[in-house]
Amino acid sequence: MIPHNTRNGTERLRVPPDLFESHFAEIHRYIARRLSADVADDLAADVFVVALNGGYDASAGAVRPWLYGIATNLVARHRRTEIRRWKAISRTAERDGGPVEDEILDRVDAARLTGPLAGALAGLKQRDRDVVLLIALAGLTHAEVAQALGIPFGTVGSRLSRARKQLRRALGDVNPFKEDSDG
Amino acid sequence: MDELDLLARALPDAPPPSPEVVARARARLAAAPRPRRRPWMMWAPLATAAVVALVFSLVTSLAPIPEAAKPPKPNQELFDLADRIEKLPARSGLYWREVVIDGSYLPLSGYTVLATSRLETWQPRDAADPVLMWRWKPSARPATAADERAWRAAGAPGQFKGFCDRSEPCEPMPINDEQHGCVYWQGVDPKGSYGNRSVATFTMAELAALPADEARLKERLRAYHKAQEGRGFDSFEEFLPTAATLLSAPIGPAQRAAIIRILAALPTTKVVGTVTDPLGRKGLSVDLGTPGGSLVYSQRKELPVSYRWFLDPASGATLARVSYAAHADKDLGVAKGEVASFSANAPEYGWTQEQPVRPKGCKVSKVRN
Repeated sequence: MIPHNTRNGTERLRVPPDLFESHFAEIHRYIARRLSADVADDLAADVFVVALNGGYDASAGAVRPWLYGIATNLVARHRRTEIRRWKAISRTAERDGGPVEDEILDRVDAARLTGPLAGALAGLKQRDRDVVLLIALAGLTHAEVAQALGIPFGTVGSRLSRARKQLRRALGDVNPFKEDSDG
Repeated sequence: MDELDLLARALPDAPPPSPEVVARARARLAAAPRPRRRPWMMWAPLATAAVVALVFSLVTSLAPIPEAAKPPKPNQELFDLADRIEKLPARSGLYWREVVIDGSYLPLSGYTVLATSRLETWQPRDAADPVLMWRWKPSARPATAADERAWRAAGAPGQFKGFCDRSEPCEPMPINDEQHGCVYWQGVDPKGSYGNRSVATFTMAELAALPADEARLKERLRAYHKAQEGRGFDSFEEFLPTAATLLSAPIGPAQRAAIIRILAALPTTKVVGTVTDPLGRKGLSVDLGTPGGSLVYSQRKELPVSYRWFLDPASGATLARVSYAAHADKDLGVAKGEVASFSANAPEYGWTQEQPVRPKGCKVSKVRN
């Protein structure tokens, strides 16, 4: 994982020997949350096959964003499946969300916002959705997202800002955030 | 406040890959063809035997290991869990929110009810911010479909009053699904002490700074044990299982992995298997072999129990601690090994960027907890 200098000073490429053991579960989870567990079973393995065939480019930075970048590219091939999933979750969550007795719980229970958020995700542009979900689901930093997607740091910020506005709009009157929060 | 934090918590989570899926993926990698050409320019001059050897060695290391070569350790599932979680991203937030559902199975005449209460704590990362706690009064519902039929046959009473001694105040408990009545406490704790003090008194910063290295963490626990000697723990070995309480504390995945490895290596620890927790989630059931306790029903009625910890296979955090009847009790209608009570951490448990909202309709409590 860490590039190291050989005796002649040439930076060599080193695939971490524990690549699969260390990262398979989290990559599987990321894909399963965006597509489905069934799809993730095969697609997560594809990520590592691609990773091995492509080799790790030390100049690209850390190995984790690199794997998430591969995973995101593979998820993009299932764009319709993903949009269908978010729409389905949006409908199901709305149907299941019955009246809640306690107003406080209403305001703090994130599960109640699942429907509007999933609906908003379905409406985002693919490239904006990738940025949002790499941060929210994979826990990547802006710099790591830039590395994962091979885009400039500033582009991450602009895509994120656009996506957050749409998410906020979708939350509408159930939005528990302060109006003056950043973004 | 952040929409992204909300997304992470509100979108449906996914179960971890099954061992079969992991094995299949591993086999696919082992069978994957060697790369023919490096896709990147900088790889071109490096497409040498050395690189092929590196990839080959990786593929080889991914192939299933023959059982004879590496017999599984006791409690291998826990070591695997630790390996799986230790590199998960560490999370943080403005508040550490704990939502705990306590449940007890109470046998009444002809049917059993499950009485639950909810305790919610918002512990700030910054001690200058207020701590907020609120607790709902317990309510009960028939424990199973059969219990519900028996309860209906008995006229579906709306409340019950049981297991009360004359010496104690004993309010009737409603039988319905609604939460009713709560009290809250809000105040600033300048020391910023974390509520659970089973291992030691920690500030939030001290918890965050706990070693993620197994050996160093064990030494730190030894120091805590020394400080607690004479308070019921005879030996360090008897004290160590207490570290399980930290699995639901605000610590990172690497620290949690270190705790799990320490627990897995204890001679008393035994993995029971995969189970469904009281809130319907899959968990790894672990018996730490610690001395059991007692559920006190009244001054005259106690039930000895043993405990098991249910751990989240995705994060290693505690989902629930469940108590089982240590022996049958005719009065209580409990069979040996039956679940008697639980304390479950609700899905909302964890870091949040939200600020706690002062609960409406709850009575103010003058004392914490």
